[in-house]
Amino acid sequence: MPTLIKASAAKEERIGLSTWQKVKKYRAFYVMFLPLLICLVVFSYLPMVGVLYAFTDYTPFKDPSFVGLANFKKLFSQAGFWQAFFNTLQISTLKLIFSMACSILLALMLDEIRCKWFKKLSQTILYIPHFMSWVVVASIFTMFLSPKNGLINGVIELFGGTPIYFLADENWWRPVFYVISCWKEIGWGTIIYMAALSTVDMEQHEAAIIDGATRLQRVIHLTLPSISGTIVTVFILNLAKVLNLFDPVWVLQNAMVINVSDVLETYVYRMGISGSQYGLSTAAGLFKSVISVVLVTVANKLSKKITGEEVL
Amino acid sequence: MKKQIAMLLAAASFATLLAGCGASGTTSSEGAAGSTGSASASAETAGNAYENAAKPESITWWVHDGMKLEEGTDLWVEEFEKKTGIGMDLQIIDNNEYYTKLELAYASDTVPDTFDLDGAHLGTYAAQGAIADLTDLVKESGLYDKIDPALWDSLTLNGRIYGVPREVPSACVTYVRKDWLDRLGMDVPTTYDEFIEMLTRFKNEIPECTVPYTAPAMENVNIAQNMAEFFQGATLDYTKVDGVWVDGMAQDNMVEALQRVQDAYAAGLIDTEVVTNTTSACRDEWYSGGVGVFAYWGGNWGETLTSRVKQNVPEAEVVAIPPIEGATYLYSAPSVQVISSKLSEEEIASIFKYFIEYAHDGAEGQVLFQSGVEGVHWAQDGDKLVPQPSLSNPEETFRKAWITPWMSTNPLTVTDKNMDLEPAITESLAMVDAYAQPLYVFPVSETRTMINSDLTTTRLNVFARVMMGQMSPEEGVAEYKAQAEALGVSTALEEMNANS
Repeated sequence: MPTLIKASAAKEERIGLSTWQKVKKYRAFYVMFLPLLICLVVFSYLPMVGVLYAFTDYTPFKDPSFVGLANFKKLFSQAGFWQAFFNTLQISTLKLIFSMACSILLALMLDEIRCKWFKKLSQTILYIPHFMSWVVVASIFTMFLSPKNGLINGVIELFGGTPIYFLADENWWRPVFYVISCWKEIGWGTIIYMAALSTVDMEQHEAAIIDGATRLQRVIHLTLPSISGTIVTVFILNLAKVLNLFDPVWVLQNAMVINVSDVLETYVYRMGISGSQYGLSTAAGLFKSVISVVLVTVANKLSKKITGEEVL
Repeated sequence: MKKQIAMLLAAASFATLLAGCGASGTTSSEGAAGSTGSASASAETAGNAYENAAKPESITWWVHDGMKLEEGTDLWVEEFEKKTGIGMDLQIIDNNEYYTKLELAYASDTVPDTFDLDGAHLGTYAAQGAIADLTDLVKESGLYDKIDPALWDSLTLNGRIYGVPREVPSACVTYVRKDWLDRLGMDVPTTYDEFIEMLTRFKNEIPECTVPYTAPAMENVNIAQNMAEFFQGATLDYTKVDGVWVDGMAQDNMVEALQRVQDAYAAGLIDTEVVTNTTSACRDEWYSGGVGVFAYWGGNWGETLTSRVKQNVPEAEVVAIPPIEGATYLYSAPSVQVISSKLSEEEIASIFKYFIEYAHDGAEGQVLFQSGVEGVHWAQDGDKLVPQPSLSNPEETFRKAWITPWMSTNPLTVTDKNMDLEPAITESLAMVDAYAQPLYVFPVSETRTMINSDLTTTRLNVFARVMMGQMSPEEGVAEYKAQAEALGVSTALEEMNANS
């Protein structure tokens, strides 16, 4: 298919169609694209005007007044902001790595299942947590992890241990957060890898088997390299949204663990909604977006160096 | 070509990322041009405005508590329109998003004519000129004289009144499982030692007691309301001492309060999960019958806490106790009905006269706002007003429309609307009336508003760490003072005292 498109484009170049002639020729495609474009403009581009509030002193009750970079200066002078920033980097990076590693591992395991009905059943069960709201997930795990009558602490006590207040312990909060995040998203994350795994050339596997390769060796030397492009693409796409941590953190954090759990989005929410400091919180949001863009750009460059291909 | 596409994609990605930053930016800046000028008028002008106020054609009213849609709000609106001849655009907003939507309404110039504000927001809205100054209208109409002066005092800012209390504020009282006290042959505790002895014996001698004392400790800084026996007059929030606003957490009595909380938690007397408890989790635990003591709102909730626990434990008896020696029950700051300053002076006077005053007229209007629609929500039986089964749940009685009948700011003047109240309601209300101390609306302070979120987080964090034994009360208070000072709490207090 890509070959056909390239050939068609080359033909158009030769016969010298102008841009408008091309638009006219492919008008049906443009019409199909139009709703998406409108949505993109209305819901993504127009709201961007709000970024200007980062440079104003703004409350809903009065006209915004231009203050230049004052909001950023104020933001960067606050200890809470930097704590939230470094927490965000740490939590999001580890969450990304754990989630991706677990999804890849799970996809490889699912790929090895030969019984079709069991494979489909497993996939369905694994996808379900993705559709649960974070509020529900938090409630479930708060019950499971309860130091009073939770399942996990019940097991700990059964083996003679002391109950742990997981969600109110600074040392435990992050590991628990990673586990809960993985549990929720791991199944959904396998979808793309499963699709990529279905394209792996089976003849190579057969050749490797004849050469005496073990199952693990085939996974490491054949399967993983075959889907490496997909892994890099998914990594970069996930990197773009990796700083979006509001829902899971907000529903799981509490005052006891605020020092290790406060992230930029919860910080922005508290400043903006609770403190009515819209200018300041927009500045923090803008800063977060810039960091996201930097991360994506760097990852894209790294991708080019490692795999020779850029995703963007 | 590939480069161009890559750049285009990168730009689109950047744009999408940035999009979230400006969620509030879709609103017109014109809409944000809320009047910063005061809507106050001289007494004479206000008097004229009040006297000459014409009946409004319609009123837009936003509420976030009171009747639910399924309880027949449409019928209530019909009745209001029939009785007053005024069109009513009633919008019920979800409590969680009330203030977000309200601020969005200001930003987009779609502010309702009238709405309510709690004590934490009243000062901010008044300082921004977002709500009308009702002082002269309140006085001119005579409403000022009908309501307890102490209540007016608790919500007056800089000598001005910006809202009318919808009802008397509520206070938390301590509920104890009396059947457990009886089983142990104990009396209601009157001192802290007796209180701790009671909790200890609940824990050790009542097999079904899973939690001697529960509280939603981390939901807000008003935790002193829910843990009165441990705080004994101390508070994490700002408070007034001898007429001066001070930082409650920096006061001398805080160390002792924190020590009491820490000791009780270490002894297993306070709910192990107090840090992650929500109010609803505490209530559910209480209903299950495993909790010995729970401090919660007086009045309606007294009856609910009793009847629900009885559903699971029929022999359960609940008693609201007087505060132990040294402890104080605290009212919440009053919630007030306000009028948008975006309206003209005449419109403000109209809404005041034909809506707010009507809701407190002591007669037809107040009955409608308290008990709802006759024949739907209540029925007349001799000289009594008998609440009818709720439309949403016929197994329960309809208790109130918008104003709790037994918590109205001024009594009904009509004599044929008497109500029989459950003992659990009257008993807990008696405790509130006898012992609760008022909480004042915070005066205007830009710094307080600005640091509020960080300061609240600091207060709760230090409190939680001390309670769980991670530091001593002295260390906790010292750490708090340093952090609060760095945030600017002194400036906030200066501003509050200057504006109170």
